[in-house]
Amino acid sequence: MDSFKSAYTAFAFAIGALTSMGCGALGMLVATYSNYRTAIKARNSLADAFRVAYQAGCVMGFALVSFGLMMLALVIIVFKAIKTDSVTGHYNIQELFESVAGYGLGGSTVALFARVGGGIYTKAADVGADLVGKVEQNLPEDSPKNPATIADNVGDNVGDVAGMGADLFGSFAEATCAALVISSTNLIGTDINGEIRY
Amino acid sequence: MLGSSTPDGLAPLSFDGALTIVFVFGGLGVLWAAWNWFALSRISTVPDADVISSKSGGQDNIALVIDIGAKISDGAK
Repeated sequence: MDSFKSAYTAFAFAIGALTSMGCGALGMLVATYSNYRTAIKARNSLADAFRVAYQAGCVMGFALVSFGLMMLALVIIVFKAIKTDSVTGHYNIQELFESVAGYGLGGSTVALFARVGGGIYTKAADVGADLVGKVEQNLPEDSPKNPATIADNVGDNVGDVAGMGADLFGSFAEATCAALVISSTNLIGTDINGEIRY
Repeated sequence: MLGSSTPDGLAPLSFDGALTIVFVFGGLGVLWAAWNWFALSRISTVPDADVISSKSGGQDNIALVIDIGAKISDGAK
């Protein structure tokens, strides 16, 4: 029976990890889609550029939090349906939310690797670009004439955009799952076995 | 029910009611994100004439960056 509990947690962990990866990919897509549009608008008006940047931030922020919230709700619905006793209609709410907590752990794990992996890559590319561009060729920082600048920007995209998106999702999912686990330990409204019937 | 009774006599929130609220707010967030994405997609991706002319002069790094960004975004589509 305990192995089944672990399997539920592992399943929630995998769902959280996949959702976190999706949030990072969505962030990179939105960033590449909107960055140069912001640059185009900035040539005419600072207010227009700010508006475009704000809209891009809204797309990423609202989309990943909404997807994260609805995936979490979906996991809870599925686990509740599985764990409910078909005869009595009872289930242990604490056991349910402890299984769901794997969702937040999965999201945080992917966020950690996205940020650290992207950070290492972008720092290596930055050092290489500076050595070649600044020291050897006397080019300014982030000069488009230096091909290594592209590698630096790709690293920024992975570490700062994808990592930030995954990290935002991970923080949100972990905080929500922690609140669910804590609330499930409150025995108000439960019977003597800690079970609630709906 | 989530809490069989409340001290101030308010009706307790059912599990399904709570999930409905979650899906309503999640759906609103997705709609708002889609609306902003639609607004972004309406922005012209063709640089202005002065941007193109300055790029051809080889003196404007911003124009070059915009051109690179346009190619990356077109590739992403």
